[in-house]
Amino acid sequence: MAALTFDQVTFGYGQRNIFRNLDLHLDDHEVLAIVGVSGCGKSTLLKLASQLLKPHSGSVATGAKLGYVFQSPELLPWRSALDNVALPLELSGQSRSHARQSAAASLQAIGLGDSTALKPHELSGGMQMRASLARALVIEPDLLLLDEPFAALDELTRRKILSDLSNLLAQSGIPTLIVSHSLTDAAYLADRILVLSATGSKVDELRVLTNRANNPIERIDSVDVSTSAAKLFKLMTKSS
Amino acid sequence: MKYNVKRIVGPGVIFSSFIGAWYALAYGIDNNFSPISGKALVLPPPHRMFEGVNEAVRSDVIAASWITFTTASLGLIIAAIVAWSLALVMAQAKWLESSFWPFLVALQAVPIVALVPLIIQIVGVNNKARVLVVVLIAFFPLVSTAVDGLKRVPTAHEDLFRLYGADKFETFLKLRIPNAVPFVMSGVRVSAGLSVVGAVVADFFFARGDLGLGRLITEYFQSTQPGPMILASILAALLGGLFFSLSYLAQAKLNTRWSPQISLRGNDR
Repeated sequence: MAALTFDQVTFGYGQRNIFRNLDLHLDDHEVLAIVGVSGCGKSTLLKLASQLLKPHSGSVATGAKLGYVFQSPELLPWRSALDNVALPLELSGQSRSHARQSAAASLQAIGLGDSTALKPHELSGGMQMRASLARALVIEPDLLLLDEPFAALDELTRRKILSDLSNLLAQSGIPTLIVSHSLTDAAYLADRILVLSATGSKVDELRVLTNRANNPIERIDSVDVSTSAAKLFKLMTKSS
Repeated sequence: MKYNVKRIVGPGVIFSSFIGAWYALAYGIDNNFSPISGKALVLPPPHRMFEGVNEAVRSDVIAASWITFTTASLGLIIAAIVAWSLALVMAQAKWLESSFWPFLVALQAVPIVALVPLIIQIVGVNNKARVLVVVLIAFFPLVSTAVDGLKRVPTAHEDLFRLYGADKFETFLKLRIPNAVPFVMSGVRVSAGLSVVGAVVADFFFARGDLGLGRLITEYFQSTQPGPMILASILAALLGGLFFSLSYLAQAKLNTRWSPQISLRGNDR
């Protein structure tokens, strides 16, 4: 069963076409990474998948509940970590107390159980990104969309969150579409990687050799990941 | 060390120059001192700045300060209620915003003195007129900052609310209004200072009813009592400072709670 399907999707800004008749397909429990050079339409693809943008032609089919993690955490500064995570549940009509209960559990699961009362500016960058992940996961999404979520983090924090996320995705089986400019991140997290060409219309594909579930953080620079990343680099160079 | 010297010497030089200029002006003005009593008629020198201030003057100035304080406070509160209500309406649609802006800009541009006849015709020459002047002076910063705050919501936050199916009312209540708070507080800070200016200026035009500081300053000036006039002016300045400081403290307090997200790298621990 497909968690996400792009059927002949065409989209552009003004005169510039980003995608022309793009077909894309994400299986249930699959983690798909999209890589490509800057400006090739990676984030646009994610916005189309989340229905924040409508295609000019073609169709996008996906589940009802979407979890979205932006490039920066985008937490509401006046809400505590707990209330930020509870927000999607509140908006979906759940009572405040029930939403906060679920949010507390979600924060606990992501390693922020002790920081629920803190405001975003009191959290470190890594903690903010974890809270953002908890907010996306609290609704138990049918599809998780990640828009370069680690781009602004320092290397150590990035690796730790990457490892935790990899384990979490392996355990939960939530189908995930991740956009990344980092080839190693993509190779580390994904089952399958799509390479967008600079024009966005041509798509190459690479099936990742590594096994996410058995790939602890110590092996992030392992031969498998490096090999996949090297292959990706070749594909990207060719496609741009 | 160099920094400390600058911090002491700089203000010291400026203050000494100010006092020196004051003395020069007081003793340089022709016929500044009465040939009979020796009292200053226009500007007393600094060491005699409160010349002529007695118990009666003190109680008059305190009573007038209270009147100015209540006029400014009431005007500011009314201006805030009307301005924020209008901002909520204006933020609903682009066409509403652009329909109201020309009137607001015109209101901001017209000098108060040009509106005095109209105010007299509508509310008369009384306390209400003075409050109305405060409202008119304090109104524009309050409405413009509130509209800004309600509209300048980060795109990602709007996307977030759309993704999670929030309706327009929920988006307004849980996103736009909280987002507007720091903007609104900037408006309050500007308007708080202006409200005292408005209350003092209004006294010059509408001189009936309870006397405020503006009227008292005029009376002391007309009866050549420069000492009491200086005291009343200092009280007016202190009142302005009080309003500004209170609103500044409130803004600082709220900004701490509302602190915008600092860039990830900048906030890393």
